[in-house]
Amino acid sequence: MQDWDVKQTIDQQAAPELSEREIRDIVDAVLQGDTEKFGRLFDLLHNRIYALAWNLTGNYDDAMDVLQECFLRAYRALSSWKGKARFATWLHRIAVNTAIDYIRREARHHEKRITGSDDEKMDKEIRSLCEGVERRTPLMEAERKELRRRLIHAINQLRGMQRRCFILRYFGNLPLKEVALIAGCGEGTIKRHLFRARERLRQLLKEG
Amino acid sequence: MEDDSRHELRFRTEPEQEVSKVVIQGEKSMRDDGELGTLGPCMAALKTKPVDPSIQQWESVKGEVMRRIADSRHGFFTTLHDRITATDSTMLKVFYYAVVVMAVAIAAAGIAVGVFYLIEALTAEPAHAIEIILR
Repeated sequence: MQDWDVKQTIDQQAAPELSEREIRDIVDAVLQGDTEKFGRLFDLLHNRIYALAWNLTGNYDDAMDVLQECFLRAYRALSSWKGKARFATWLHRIAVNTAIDYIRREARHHEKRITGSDDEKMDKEIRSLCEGVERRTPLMEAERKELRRRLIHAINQLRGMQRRCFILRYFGNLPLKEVALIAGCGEGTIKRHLFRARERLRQLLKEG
Repeated sequence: MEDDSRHELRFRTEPEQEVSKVVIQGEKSMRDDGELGTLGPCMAALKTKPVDPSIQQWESVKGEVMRRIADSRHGFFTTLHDRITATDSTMLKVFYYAVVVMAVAIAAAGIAVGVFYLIEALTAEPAHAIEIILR
């Protein structure tokens, strides 16, 4: 069983680390109108956000959409970053909220499909999914896509903090300590949320 | 093999075929943390080898973000929405939502006063209704 870690595969493109002081200077410059400097923040953190987005969406286009949306929201909310949390932590908070919006959209789409029971459309979708996929059988691809849909539908039914913690931990591959920082509570609380999230997901997947 | 690790998926593969049933099952998670337990196989099945964007692709995405930033307008509600997105503080969220509710209430009150004034004026002087509306 392979557990792909996006961070490892794209680390060679990672930008050099900046101190929080340097990031503060960049943010101040952006807030004063030098929007070009926002590009440096993108260079610094795009890999980590992409990792989360990829694991969640499983396809390049959607992952890039989530990534772009996250940075746009960050830009628009930039003045609300007061430096209490690290910039990366703050950005992850936005990323997870963007991811939750994606999950809601996908879950709605999934529900529509179930209630619509449009078999012909589903067949077409599965066939188009299978076209052009290298070294994967059509069945595997369809299987994986259906599993993703079901899981996303189930995650959408989790409570707020459980959902947030689950996404950060298992889609963002973040250590507990970092999840705790982003969620703004202790590691013990995070462990409890994760435990309940896993239990609930198991139950939902069984029922589904 | 535990029962919990079995996840049945049913879907049609071809129009002429019957519903196909696929059982995804696996051994207990092999992740280092082992936290996911029986959910491990399920999550592992989802994790595919990521597309590793080239530097050109990153530049293109960055360019798109920067273009959208340059084109973006800071509307009141957009900014408010993004601020709500950026915070996990319940108090701040309540505050932001209260601002939205107040803005909507003020707008609704303004419209109501306008309509009330118009009706009052029209009923007081029905002969000059057009003039009052155009005034």
